[in-house]
Amino acid sequence: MKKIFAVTMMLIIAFTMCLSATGCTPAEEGGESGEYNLKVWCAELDQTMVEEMLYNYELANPDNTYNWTVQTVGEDVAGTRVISEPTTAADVFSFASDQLGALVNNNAIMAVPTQYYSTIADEQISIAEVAAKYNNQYYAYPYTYENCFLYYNKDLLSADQVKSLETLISANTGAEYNIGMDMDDAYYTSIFLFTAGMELFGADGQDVTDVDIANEYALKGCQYIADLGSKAKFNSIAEEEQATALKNGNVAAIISGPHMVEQFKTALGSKYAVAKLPTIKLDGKDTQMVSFSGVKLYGVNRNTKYPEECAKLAAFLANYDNQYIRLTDREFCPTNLELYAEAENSGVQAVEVVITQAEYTRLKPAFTQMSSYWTPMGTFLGGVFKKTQAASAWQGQLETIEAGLLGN
Amino acid sequence: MTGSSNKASRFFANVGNKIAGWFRNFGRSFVGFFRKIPTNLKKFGRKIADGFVRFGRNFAEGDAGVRCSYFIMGSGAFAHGQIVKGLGYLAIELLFILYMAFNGVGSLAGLVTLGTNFTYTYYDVDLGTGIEVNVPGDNSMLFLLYGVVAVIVVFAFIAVYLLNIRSAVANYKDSVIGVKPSTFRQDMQSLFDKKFYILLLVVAFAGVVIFTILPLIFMILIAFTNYDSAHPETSGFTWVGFENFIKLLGSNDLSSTFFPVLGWTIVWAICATFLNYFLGVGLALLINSKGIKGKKIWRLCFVLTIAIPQFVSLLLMRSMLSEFGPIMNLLVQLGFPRTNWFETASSARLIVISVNLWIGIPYSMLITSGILMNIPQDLYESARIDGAGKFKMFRKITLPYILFVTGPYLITQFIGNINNFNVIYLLTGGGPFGELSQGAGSTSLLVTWLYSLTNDTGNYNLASTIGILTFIICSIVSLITYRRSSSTKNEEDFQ
Repeated sequence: MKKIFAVTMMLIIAFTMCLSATGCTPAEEGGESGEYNLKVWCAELDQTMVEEMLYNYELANPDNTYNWTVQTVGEDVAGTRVISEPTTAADVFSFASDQLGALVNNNAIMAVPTQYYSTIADEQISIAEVAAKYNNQYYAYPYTYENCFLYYNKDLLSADQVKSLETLISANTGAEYNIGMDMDDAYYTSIFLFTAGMELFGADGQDVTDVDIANEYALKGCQYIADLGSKAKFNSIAEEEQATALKNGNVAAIISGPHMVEQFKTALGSKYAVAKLPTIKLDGKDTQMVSFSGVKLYGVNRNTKYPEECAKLAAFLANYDNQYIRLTDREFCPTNLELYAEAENSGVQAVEVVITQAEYTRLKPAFTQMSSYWTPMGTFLGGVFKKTQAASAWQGQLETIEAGLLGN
Repeated sequence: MTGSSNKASRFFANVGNKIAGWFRNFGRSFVGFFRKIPTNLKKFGRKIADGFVRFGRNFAEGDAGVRCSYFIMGSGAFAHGQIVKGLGYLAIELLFILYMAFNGVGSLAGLVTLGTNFTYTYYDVDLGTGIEVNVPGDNSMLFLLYGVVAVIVVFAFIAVYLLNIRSAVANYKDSVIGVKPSTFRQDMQSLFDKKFYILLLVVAFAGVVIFTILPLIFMILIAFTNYDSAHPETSGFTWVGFENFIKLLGSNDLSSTFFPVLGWTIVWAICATFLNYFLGVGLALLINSKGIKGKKIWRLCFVLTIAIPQFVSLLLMRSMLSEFGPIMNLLVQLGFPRTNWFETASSARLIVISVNLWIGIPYSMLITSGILMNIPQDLYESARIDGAGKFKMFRKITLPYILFVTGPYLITQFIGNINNFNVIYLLTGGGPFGELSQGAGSTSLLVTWLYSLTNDTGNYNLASTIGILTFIICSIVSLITYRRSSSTKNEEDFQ
């Protein structure tokens, strides 16, 4: 009896094992035409919105059946993930423009079919058109433009006080710190170098041979950062701490990008206000701060089974209607020319301020060489701010980073 | 005065000798472990040689059935009337030949090349839509996987083949002494009777091979390829030999990350294990000592931390200790300057070690409490009568007892801490970053670095190499310490 029981148990185990093994095999690919199994990657906060857009896409294409898989993968890493896991990555993915170079060089992204050229070339703002292009070929469908600006607590600071960083720092806010930003991230600290006149891959960031970052302008920016380090009312605050600090009134203003809108709005409530970046005093002259800017785009995985359908879907997700949904739902600045013009006076604060700041920005270069910029520059400027980098060593450090960018 | 200082110096000399002795012994067993390797290898080699000799001798000495079974499997069974068994062997041979002909040989060749056709794209002008057409090439990852499967199939076949010869020889020997070979029914019955364990284990064994051994071989082999983000499976990766090991251990950018991470991993494992252990023992002793009221309540208090899921406590601690968290706010109100503890390496390391105490101490306290309550009281009584002091009783009775029982626990804890992913990942995420390159931070352990190499940067080959190195370190440490622990050496002593 016992033995029969044991054998039955064994057979059950064997059976479940076989079941689970067959369960692991991938679902049948849509055999008949008109059936598509598509995987889409988007940012975590965008998931519901994207699912709605996909539903609209289904309605617009009633002849086809779609099986969607929507996964949340941050736009900052989506490109890297598509490169390293091409066969399991999404068919259509949202990514930040600075990853385009790596995607193209690793054959991970499909070029835009000619029929969609005009939607990019003629219907988008020029910076988005530039960001969608690599080696003179369109590779992705832009849908939002972003840069850095100032978030502040309007109970503690007035609109006049946030016009200049010096006034802002010397204002009597009663908060522990008047202003904070992440001084370990080169995306933010580069602001001071750009403001002082440094250029990265040329004025428009498109000339891969033009690397001159170890110059007097960069040193001037470093000096300003070092001076900030000794100001008691200015503090480096890591991104994940910023919302709490604003909420508790520890800090009165933060420099960051539009990806923090939701968090900061909740943190500040009725005290929430935004403004373009303040000016800083360089050589006795008030100079407008210049930040990096970026574009987010939809790309199509080169290894997708349905290139035509994916291109259509990516173009759809980036079209006027969906940019409008993003503008109203998430306060994303559109890249569609027409919508961009409308957004300027839309009353959506975060978008209006992005547009005001737009003329003082540098597009994040898409060259793969940038991978030897972010971490070294972030560490170096963080050290300058914390005074662990002696002023005499700055030139040498900048030259090292420059050599890295040139690939030496 | 001089007497007491003499006593103290003698005590310290004693302790010093003990420590030196421990290291000497450790060194000796370490050397011994490696010295035994050649002898063991020789033994292994001799066994294999013996096998080949037997293989040849059986062919020479066997009857026609035995000789035929070298080429046509099952002949030995047919020759002695075991039709079903013979058909089974024959079927396996035919299936194997078919598999090899249609699939196996290709898979084995694929294992060598890992794919030769690479992905390419072209513009389809005829389509008119300007769509880029992608022609997928060989998928190196699948080549590797099928290759490993083929190798396992070949080994399984060799095992069955040898079994076939062995049963043919047995049949022949039986016939010589006049024993009738077993019928199929008898064989089946013995599976339910004498060989019941085989019947039960066959499924488990197959499961282990398919779900554990096969993936393990697959992952280990990745360490010898260039499978990283620059060589994903679609564009084809290939064998590179020991290049990844050289990269990690040689002198370059990677090794200047690997060794600091390894160093911190070991420091962390030692601190996390021994601090937790001794503080837990201390706590248990304190609660267990006479004159403490409400022992159960105290124990409950500390055990409550186990009731909260570990990751919840860790995330809570993280936000409590953060730059604008409640603890820092309190300190600022008391007049301390605001600092971000997670920003500097030393304070971040201190935090992970001390938060880990919160999580680890209750476990070792629980275990030692149990042991303490089981130490026979008469031992202490007789010691007291003999005039032993409290410290002496602890050293001679309590400590040996505890160490005897918890020795293996200590070793598993140490290994567990080397691979302690949760605490580091949830508290600091490996940060602060900046001092080290390649995605590792100042509190990164080898495992968390491995995680970021696979998940963030897609360097599967390096991750696999680190996994192998971690395994080597863990196995050496645990083998040596386990063999040296008194639980193994004096297994019979414990009553």
